[in-house]
Amino acid sequence: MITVPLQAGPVPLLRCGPQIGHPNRARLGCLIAALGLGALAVVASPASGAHLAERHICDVHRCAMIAASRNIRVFEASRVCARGRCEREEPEYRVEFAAWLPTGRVTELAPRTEERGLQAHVSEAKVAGQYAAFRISGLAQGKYDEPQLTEKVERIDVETGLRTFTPAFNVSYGGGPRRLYFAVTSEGTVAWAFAETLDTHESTVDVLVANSKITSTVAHGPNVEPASLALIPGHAYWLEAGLPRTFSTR
Amino acid sequence: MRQTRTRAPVGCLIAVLGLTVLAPASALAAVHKKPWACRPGHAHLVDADKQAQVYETGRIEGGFHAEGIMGCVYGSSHQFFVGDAGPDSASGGASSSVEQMVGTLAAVATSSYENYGQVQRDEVSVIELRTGRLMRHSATGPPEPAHDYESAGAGPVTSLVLRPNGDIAWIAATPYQRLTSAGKDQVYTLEASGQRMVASGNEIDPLSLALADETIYWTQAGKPDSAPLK
Repeated sequence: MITVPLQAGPVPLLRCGPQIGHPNRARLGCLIAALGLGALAVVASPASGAHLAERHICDVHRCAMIAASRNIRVFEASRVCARGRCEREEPEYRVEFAAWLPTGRVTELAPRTEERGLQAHVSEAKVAGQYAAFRISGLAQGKYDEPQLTEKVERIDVETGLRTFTPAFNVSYGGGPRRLYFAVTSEGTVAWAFAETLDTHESTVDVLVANSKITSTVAHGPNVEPASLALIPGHAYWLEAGLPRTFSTR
Repeated sequence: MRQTRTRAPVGCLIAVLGLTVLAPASALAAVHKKPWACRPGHAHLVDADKQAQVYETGRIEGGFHAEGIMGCVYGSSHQFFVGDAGPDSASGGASSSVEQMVGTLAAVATSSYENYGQVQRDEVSVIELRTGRLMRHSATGPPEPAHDYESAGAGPVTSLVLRPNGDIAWIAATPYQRLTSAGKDQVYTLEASGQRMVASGNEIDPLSLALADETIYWTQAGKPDSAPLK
């Protein structure tokens, strides 16, 4: 896991972008190149002791904002840029970061881990207070070595870089865009709701309460409406067969 | 869409290698831009989202004294008035709080008073920060504003939600002096079609309002309740 503080200076990004379902040699080559350049950057950069900052990243890459609040900015860095000009080609890698603006601390949202598999990317993020919740899609090895698409929602304390891992759930192929809804509160509670495979037509609401590392399933069944999930400090709400339900997160 | 090109890693390697080895950090810093800010440097940031910022402006006399709340959209030099930052004096003034931002919209709750608090007004508004247009504006409930500057609104806003289309809902907590048969707390919505009260009573949790897509939720007597917001 790569978490700042790192050395200041030009920052090569260390994760190639996801090509879910299409692993290829090009991606592996880019990954190797990026890893090598990461090591090179550490050797070549002056040992200033400064923290990695948003500016260091966005000086040499094209950055796009994903989410923001008063104190947090979540952004994605991709193409290599120099002197205001960026590469024209589609980026071979995209890395998402969260910056805690009061101190400038930057943390990579989804560093590559064995759990997440070789390829993972953040497709959506939400922020509140000092927390960010983000949706990760990843390609993992299945039971019979087959590639398996998994998704999960994770939480990070952007001020400290502390991360809470959550269980991943599998995504069936051919099901079209997955309906996943999630939210985070300023106290750090995260809730998400999603429709399971098309075969079962069932949906689930999961909650990760503030200061807890344990995910609880608070609703499950064919009548749960994932799009109805709402979360505020103290309450998670959703509709079940058209009726409002709640779970106290205190 | 993320696409793969076989030759791209070579380009990636050459470009990043060149930058890493040849370009000093100081030279690269010169090209850095701040695309995600539009407020003046001395202004105090109040809230921000992916598209816009709201901030306090004021004067610096032995510390920062906020005078007004303004808003702007990234990449634009236009700034628009959002609300008052605080009371002018003990005899009267107005104080606004930015309750929520969605895209380039800001929902604001404003409480004002005159005659040393004898007259109080509580209002909600939605401002489009791209143009400064007032999309929605209303007292927080009855009584509606009158020409003789009597008190207006059902009371201060305790929680508010905003939809991307500008519709809002809020819970107003009625002060003792303004209590009506509707009870201490009321849930209101303000849509393009107008304002309506969707719940009232003494057992509404004033901080329980939440929004999911087109549904608002609140808790009353310990039980969840909901209403459409379309």
